[in-house]
Amino acid sequence: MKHIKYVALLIFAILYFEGNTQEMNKYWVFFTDKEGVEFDPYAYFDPLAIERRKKQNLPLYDNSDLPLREDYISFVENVVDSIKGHSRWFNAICVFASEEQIDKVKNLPCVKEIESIESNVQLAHRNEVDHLLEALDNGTNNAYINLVKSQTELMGISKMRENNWKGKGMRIAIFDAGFPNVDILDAFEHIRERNGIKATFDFVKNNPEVYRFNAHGTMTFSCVAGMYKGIPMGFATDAEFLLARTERATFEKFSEEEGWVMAAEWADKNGAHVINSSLGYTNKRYFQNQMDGKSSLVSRAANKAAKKGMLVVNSAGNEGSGDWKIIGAPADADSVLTVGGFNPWTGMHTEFGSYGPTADGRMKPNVTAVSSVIAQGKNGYESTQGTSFSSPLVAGFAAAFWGANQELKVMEVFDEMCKSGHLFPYFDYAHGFGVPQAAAFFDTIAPSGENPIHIVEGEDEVFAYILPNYFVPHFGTFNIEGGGYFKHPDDSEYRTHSSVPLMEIPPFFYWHTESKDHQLREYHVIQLRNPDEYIMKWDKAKIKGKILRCYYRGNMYEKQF
Amino acid sequence: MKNNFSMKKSIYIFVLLASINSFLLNQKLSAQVSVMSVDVQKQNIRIYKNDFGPNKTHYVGGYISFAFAFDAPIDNEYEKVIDTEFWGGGSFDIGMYYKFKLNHFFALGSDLYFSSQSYRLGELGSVTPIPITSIDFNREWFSVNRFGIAPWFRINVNKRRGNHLGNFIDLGGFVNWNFAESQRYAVHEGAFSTRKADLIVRELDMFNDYDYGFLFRLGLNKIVFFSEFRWNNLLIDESINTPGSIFPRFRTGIRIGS
Repeated sequence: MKHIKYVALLIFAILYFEGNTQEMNKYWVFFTDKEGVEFDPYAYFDPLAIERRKKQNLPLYDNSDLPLREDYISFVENVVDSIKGHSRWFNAICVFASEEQIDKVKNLPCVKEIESIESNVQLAHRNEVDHLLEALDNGTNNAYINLVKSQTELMGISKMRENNWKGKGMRIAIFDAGFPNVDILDAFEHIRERNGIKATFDFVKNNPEVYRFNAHGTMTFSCVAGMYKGIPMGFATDAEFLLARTERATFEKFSEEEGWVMAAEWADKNGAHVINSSLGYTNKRYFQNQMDGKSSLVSRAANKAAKKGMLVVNSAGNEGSGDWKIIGAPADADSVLTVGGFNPWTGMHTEFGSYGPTADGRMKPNVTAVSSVIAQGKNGYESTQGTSFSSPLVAGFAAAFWGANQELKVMEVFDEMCKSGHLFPYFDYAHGFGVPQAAAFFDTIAPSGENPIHIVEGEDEVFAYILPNYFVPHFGTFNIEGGGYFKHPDDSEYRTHSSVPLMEIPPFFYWHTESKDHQLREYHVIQLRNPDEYIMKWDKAKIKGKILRCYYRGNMYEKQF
Repeated sequence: MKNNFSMKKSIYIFVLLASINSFLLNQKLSAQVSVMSVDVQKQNIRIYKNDFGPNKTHYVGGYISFAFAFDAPIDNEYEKVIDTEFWGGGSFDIGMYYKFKLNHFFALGSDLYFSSQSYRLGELGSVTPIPITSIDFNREWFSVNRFGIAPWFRINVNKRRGNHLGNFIDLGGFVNWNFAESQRYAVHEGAFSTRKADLIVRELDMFNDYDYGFLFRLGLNKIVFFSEFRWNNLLIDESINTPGSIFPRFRTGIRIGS
């Protein structure tokens, strides 16, 4: 029968496909030592990397900066199919090899450990609203212009710019899936004019060309330093940049977790102060209980980057409304500044933003920032959402702060970012310490001496009230022109407004309880409406042995019950 | 009088409803409103104790698949594979499955599906005589609709994977209940031209109620290539032209799902 040949062809194709994927697995091969290798840090590192180390009193180099032993690489190269790259930090090379080949590699005396690589990245970019905003292009619609302003003004960009905090002297590495048209778009012209993009590298294809592929990187970059007709879309417009393509971001069996690791070392070598990574590795390789900051190589690499003096800012992810729910890697790493999503339309945690804590119970996210933004897309301005855009806003914010306070060490900057959160010292696992506020660096707020949170303890119950002078009722999801709702741009009501005020963070009442193991047991956000009524009532028995914390308009109440 | 009563009743109901509405509105405005409430322990139980997922103890997925039938040419005194057109027949399945994870490498499961299979004959009238000779039929199909169950044993080949299906091989069997069969004759002017006439014969008694066989699958996460071998004959020998005629016993195709 004639169709037998078609069947044979199909079976052959299937077997060929499967055969190939079986043969070509990807592995990290870790070596035992680096004995005998020579290293000149001044020849290897960019002067800015040397300076960063010196400023932070870090050793100029340590064993993890030394190159790999060439003889070890040769031993493995002779056995495997090909080498994709290497990591000095982990003394490892990334190879393509068959199972048979990798068994041979295992027996080499220089090999300490082998780890297979199979994971898929998730861009922290959601829903792809992604419609071109012509109104922005012709610059006539104040609503959209205020929307651009709000994404940075909510964190107080005016204060920073008044003081010329624009990230000068800082170098920011951006890891993403591609940066199409960054070399020609107006939004980045101010950076190109001063040759502000210092290096680019595509770790997927191993070449310097990054101005193509997925536009996610263009969008995140614009939220770090883009400009729209003189309006900053991010905070670090005067910084220098390193653009790394670490992800393919298409359907594939293998993804580029190892690209992230290599890019982090490249960023270190090239003198980056801040790394922005709007990427997360979740269910394709891991289970939630592995989100402990130690299980994934990418999280270990992120911690290593912090040890080298770089601030790693990573998006929390968009898993909040899905099954995964919690943050991914490397946002789970303890030295990573993890940024959750803040919904400007509701004034609180965005529904889709991933929640903390980490699997081992550490508080995450650390801060939150606006996750519905106007970003520069491949061909125009786009309204889009995702914690992908919260992270670059904070990365730019941190760089602007650090640029003006260069004497600080990386973890001091990390702490300052947390302290600048609008809720600090209060926190929860949705908002972290809240949205960073530039005002925290400039305004000295004298304590009023009076805490507006008034707690009354009865025999069996505890009541919280707000003192009448401080009570601000809040009805809408977002106040607009003295009341009413502020809606999403897709909403028809929004479109009818020709003028939209800049957004503000609404005055919610927050409370949580913390148990003896320093874990939050529950956390809540309350919208206040009636000044004559108590805000909350707790059964004493239920909060016994726990710390109760309440927060309202810059004031916190805390008591161990 | 009756009208008057109805009017009064309506007014009372209106006033009552208005009062309830006003009361409810007032209540809503006067209370503080919880806009976010997270019980961390409950959330953690949901996240960490959840044993349902593509690579967890229990999983239920859905799929659709497309396949075609084929066989080696057999023509001897006992058996004859019916000549079917390769592109003229095929099958469409829609189903769901349950998977029980035994360990990281092995799982058991079963599919439950509806399948519609058709065979376009290469040689008209080779199974049953063409009923109306005055019309010059130039195409003939047999269609079988069935429900099936297919238990299988899964071998996962990924050494490390998270909560996703991964790459796997399934070995198993299937049993189909053939509940609706039909035979269709049609006149076509050309390969893709307009159909001129159809004659459909239903409630055929030439098919076995059940068929069964073995299956093999190669899964690349959500894309699965599969082949099946039907062990028994679909046709009851006594009801057809040529005893020993069998429809192609192999079925191979692609399946996409969760």
